[in-house]
Amino acid sequence: MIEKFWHRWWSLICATMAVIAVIIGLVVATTPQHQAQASNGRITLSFWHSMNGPNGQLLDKLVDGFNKSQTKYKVVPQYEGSYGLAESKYINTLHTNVTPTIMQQSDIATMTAVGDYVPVQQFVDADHYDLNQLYPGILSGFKLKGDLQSMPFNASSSVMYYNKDLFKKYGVKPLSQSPSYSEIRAAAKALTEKSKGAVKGATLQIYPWLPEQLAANQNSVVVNKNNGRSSAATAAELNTPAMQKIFTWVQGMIKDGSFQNFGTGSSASANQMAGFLGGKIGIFMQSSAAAGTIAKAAKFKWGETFTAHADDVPANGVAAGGASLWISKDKSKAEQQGAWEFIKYMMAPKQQAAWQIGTGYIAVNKASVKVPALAAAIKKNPETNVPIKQLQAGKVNAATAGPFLVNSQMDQYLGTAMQQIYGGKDIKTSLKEAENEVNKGIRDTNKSNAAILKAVFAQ
Amino acid sequence: MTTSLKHINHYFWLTLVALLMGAPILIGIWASLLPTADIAAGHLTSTNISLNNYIAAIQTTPVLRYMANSFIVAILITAGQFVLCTLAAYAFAFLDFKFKKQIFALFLITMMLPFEAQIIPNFQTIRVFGWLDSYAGLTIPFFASAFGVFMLRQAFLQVPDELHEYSQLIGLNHLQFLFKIVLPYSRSTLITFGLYMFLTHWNDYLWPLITTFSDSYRTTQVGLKQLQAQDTFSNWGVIMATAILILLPTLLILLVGQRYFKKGLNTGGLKA
Amino acid sequence: MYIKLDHLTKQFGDTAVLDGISAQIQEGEFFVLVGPSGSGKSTLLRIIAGLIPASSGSVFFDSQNVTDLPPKDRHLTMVFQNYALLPFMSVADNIRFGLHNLDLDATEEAKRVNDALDMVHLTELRDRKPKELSGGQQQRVALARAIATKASLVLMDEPLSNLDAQLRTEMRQELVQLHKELGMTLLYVTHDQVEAMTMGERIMVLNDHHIQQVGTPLDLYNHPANKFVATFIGSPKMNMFDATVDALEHFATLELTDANQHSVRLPLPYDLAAGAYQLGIRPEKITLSRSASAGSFPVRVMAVANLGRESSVSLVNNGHEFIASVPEQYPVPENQIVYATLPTDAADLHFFDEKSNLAVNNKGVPEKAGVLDGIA
Ligand SMILES: Nc1ncnc2c1ncn2[C@@H]1O[C@H](COP(=O)(O)OP(=O)(O)OP(=O)(O)O)[C@@H](O)[C@H]1O
Ligand SMILES: [Mg+2]
Repeated sequence: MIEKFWHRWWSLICATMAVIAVIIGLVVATTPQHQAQASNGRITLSFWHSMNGPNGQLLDKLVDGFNKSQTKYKVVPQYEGSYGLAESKYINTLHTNVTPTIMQQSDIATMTAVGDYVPVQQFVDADHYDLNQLYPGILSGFKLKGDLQSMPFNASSSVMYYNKDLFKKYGVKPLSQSPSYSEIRAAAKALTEKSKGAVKGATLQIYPWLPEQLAANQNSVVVNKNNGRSSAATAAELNTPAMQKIFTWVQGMIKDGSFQNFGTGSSASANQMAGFLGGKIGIFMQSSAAAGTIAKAAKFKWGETFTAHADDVPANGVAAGGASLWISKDKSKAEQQGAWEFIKYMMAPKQQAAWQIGTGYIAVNKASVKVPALAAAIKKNPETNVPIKQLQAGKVNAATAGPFLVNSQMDQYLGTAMQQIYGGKDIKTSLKEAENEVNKGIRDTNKSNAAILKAVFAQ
Repeated sequence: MTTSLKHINHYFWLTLVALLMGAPILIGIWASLLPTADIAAGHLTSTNISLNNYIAAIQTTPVLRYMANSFIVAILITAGQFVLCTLAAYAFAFLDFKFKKQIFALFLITMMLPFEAQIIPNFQTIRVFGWLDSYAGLTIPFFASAFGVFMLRQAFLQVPDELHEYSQLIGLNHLQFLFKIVLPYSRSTLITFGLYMFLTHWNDYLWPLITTFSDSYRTTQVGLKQLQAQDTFSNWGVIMATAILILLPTLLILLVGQRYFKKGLNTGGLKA
Repeated sequence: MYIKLDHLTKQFGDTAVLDGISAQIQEGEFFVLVGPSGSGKSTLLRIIAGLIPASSGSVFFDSQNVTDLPPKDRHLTMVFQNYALLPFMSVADNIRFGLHNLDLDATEEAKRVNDALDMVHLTELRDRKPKELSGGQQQRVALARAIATKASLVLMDEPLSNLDAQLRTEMRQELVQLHKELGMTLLYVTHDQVEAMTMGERIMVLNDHHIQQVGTPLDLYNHPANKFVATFIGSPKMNMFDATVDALEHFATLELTDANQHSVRLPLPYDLAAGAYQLGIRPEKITLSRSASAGSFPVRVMAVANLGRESSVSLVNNGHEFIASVPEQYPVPENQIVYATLPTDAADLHFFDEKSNLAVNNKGVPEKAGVLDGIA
């Protein structure tokens, strides 16, 4: 069949090939150098982000709103994969035709070390932008020596989610707004026992960010030098009473048989979510940004509470998670100005309100709660406001600013320690080992990055 | 055992193995018809079988754009390789020049070098050229294919010397000889080569992954990966539907080109 | 168009393939190049075609020196052993494709294709692909392709050797017939001396880098210029005997023995200097009989190859094996003793110098035809 075709169209194929060869030439010749100047006279700003699914769609909508709101700039959003992937892409393509003007990134330490950005503080100062309209507890995580490096756009905090319908079915009292470890343990045990094992009471994913938040909530840092905020951290503080309490709690639940371990790896988080949505898990801890997804997919009533606190320690508050927007140094003044205009737009009460409603991230602008749409949403479902309340109730200090650590292997070794502890190994031993390993890493990093770190803290 | 019983026995095992091999695809097709909520909840069936995932995939994801990009990239690479490999293979097969053997050996050596080993230098090159996130960057590094040169050279060597001599007698120049005799003579290899290269590059993953940064240039395989959500849970129904869509061209080509794959991949047996 | 080859030599790297090749081929001649495998026939043909350059020497077409002309400017065509048809084209297209650079108008082109097809009786098969034809038909297509060009020189390199014996015989006749009709100069390469003998008007025997002899078939058969030609031409091969001529004697003493164990002595038909010679005698010139007679000597029958009309009888005498052809069926059992008689006619005795292998002093034998053009 092909042969016949081939025979008949042979010369045509040759000609086509020749034409294609010419096209290739043209492709090369005309490959766009990603010029900032768009055809219609607007300045094009490329915006790399890590939002997808419903969150990504909403982000696109907000960007569209910005593009329609003025005629000078055109922001082109590009999803670049997870924060980690986007970050490595960013680093690998610095000073190339694809370097974005605006970059969304959560890893403030690495971004600072790479240093290829203009601190947002400069635009804030020049524009007399009022930072007081934003929550200080969120801003603190993005400041170095008091200067705002990047703009926290999508802020989240860790919360506890629970399946209200399951609680009701098995006659377990709903969780309080700020539950203690023992309250959760008791509820988890009750759920498991009353459902005769059909439901596992609780889980805590092997995801180092979670114990970090649980420690912050006990006003405990994870690295020295005020969580690495006053000067470069020189040692990890993992084998602390705070950490020990967290894992004692977890091991207790494991002993009760009310705890589900979803393991590690890329699917752990998806499996955990599937377990919760499938009514097989009673309580789990996750970023408040997961609320949007749960709201869309859960076929049951669910609740959201503050991050759990240790029984004998009052809740100190947690660090803001999420990511911030960075303005590239590599671009013209006009482009950077456009980036700042875009950031201002995205931080306005209306946009932040829409963002919280749609995603579960916290509206960083204090005035957002007064935007009718968000006010109505909170009224209808008070759970929506839990992350903000938690933030407002929390203290602004070193623990809640979160650790600032360049290039350490904190996540890796804390994750390993969690696996060991979940497997029944001694808590203190596991934490101590992790601490030693991380310390080694910190020492090496500090040695090889001495100049960078000096520059970062000299600002 | 009688023959018919034997046959039944054979068919039984063959069917079983075929089912086993085909299971991932069959399950994928089935899943693409289920609502995502049911998949996420771990249900294997649903009362709600529909093509909605396909509609959603086309409407809410850039999958068509991805497919168009893959198509463009695969076609450009195939065409580019066709041009370059044909010319290089012609030189190795029909021309005499100094150090021909050594140069050909060099070609073969580069064939041993996995593409993964070339990624970093290639990346640096197109980065410097400003070809990141462009068709040029996606395609040009693949134009020179040692494997292609080797495969075509082997095919060209099958052209009898007499045909070469005959072409000289009737006054064909090199290009005429190439186009009027060598290429038609080697057409099964060329078709195989084309289909194979198209498929390979339709399925490219690593290179597009690291050199594309916008949906304008992302290809299907990378796009598919994009669709798996990060902060939120994955929309598996749509992802499966997209995967099936992406699979279609591959299946089509395999179906149409089967004969040539069988023939072409044991080059040497390429007599017309 | 006549062709002149002037001191052509060819080396591939260090190996000499052709040396001192000089010859003339007449216009319209059916000229056969014959020689054992590897003797350089194809090489010579390709030099004439311009496909490979000669290492030295020149080629003239008529009076034009074409040594440096590319093949396409030599206005010749070639038929190859494996036909060299384009498998992806129909028979007619193959023929038309051969007219590629002749700048013919469409009607002329069509006419030539049709005429050529007609001539080789393939008009019906014009739309078939080569692989849908038999070997003989494919070779006819190749012929038609050559004919259609109307080139005045056609080179053929073993065109029939891929065909089976019967078809080959048929095609030989067809080719000879075609040549008669068209009158082109035809250079025909074969390693088969029967083919050379039956087809060629003149034959050039190549061996050992050199031309051994050029002449008509009968010339070569009757007057081989050297031992190589003598044994190469003719089947069964010419028998060779060691012969010694003593001074003053008009006899050659052979290493054969008669019934009394005396050496066989042959009277010389002409004078030869004393010395050692090789005596060549064609098998059909040796006569056999069941009973002894004057001049005969006993031989033992080793084997008999009965060909129906004639028989080749392998014989042995005094440890020497030779063959006699008898023009009849020869039902003699193996190991039977019969009696052989050697010819005495000057024309039937071929003496070759022991050292140079050249034919010696057969003057007085009437020349039938031909010239000895380039004896090495
Ligand atoms: N391209 C070449 N390189 C080196 N040697 C060659 C080449 N072509 C031919 N020869 C050598 O030259 C000699 C003559 O080869 P040629 O093909 O002319 O012989 P031939 O008489 O046609 O033999 P045959 O009857 O087998 O076709 C052979 O010994 C062959 O090995
Ligand atoms: Mg030959």
